[in-house]
Amino acid sequence: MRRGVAAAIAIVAAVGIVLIYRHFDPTFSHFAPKCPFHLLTGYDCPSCGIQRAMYAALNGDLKRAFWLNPFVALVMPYFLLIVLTTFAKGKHIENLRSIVQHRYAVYGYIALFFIWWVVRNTTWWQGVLSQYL
Amino acid sequence: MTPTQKPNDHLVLAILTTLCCCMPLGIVSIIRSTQVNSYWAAEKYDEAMQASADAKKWALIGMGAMVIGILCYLLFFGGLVALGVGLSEMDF
Repeated sequence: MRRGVAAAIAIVAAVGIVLIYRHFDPTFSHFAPKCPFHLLTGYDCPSCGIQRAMYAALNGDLKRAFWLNPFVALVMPYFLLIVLTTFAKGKHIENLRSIVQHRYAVYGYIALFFIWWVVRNTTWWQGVLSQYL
Repeated sequence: MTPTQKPNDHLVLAILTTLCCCMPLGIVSIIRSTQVNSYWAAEKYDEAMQASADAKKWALIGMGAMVIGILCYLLFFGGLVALGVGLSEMDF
C-alpha cells in the first residue's frame, strides 16, 4: 500500500516535470527555482544545469543536454540501477545489488561528486565547455 | 532480541537528495545509508537500525529544505509580480 502511494507520487511528479520542462525554458523564466549555492557564491553546484538540461533534452537537443551537466547525465544510469535493485526482486537482481550498492561503489559516487564540484568551477572546464555549448 | 529483517537503507532517497541541490545533507544521508549494511553484516543490529533511521531523517530534511526554499522563492517573486502589476495599474 505504502509502496503503491510512493509509486503514484513518483509517476505524477515525473509527468509533471516532463510537461513543465517541455514548455518552459528555465534560462529565461523567473519562476524556475534557482540554486541557493549559485545565488550565494556565484559558483556552480554539482547539480547546476539539470533544469536547463531537461529543457534541452525534452526539446530534442541531446548534445546540449549532456554538456550542461555531464556528471548527472553519466550518473543517471547508475541511479536507475540502484532504484531497480532496491525495488525489484530475483536472484540476478540480488547479484547486481551486491555490486551496484556495494559501499565502495557508493563511496566512488561521493568522490566523483566532489571532484566534479571542483572541476566544473575551473577556468579549464569553462574553456572545454565553450566548444560545446 | 535479534531483528529478523534488515532495516531499509534508504539509499535511493539519499542519492536523490544529493542530486536535488541539497547536497550536504544528502552526503550525510548516503554515508549513514552505507553503514546500515556494514552494521547488519557485523550483527550490530541496534547500530544498523540507528543508521537506517538517520539516513531517512537527513534525506527527508534535505528534501524538505529544498521544497521550503523553492516555495519561499516562488512566494518572493510572486509577491514582486503582484506588486508590479498592482503599481502598473495605478494612475499617478
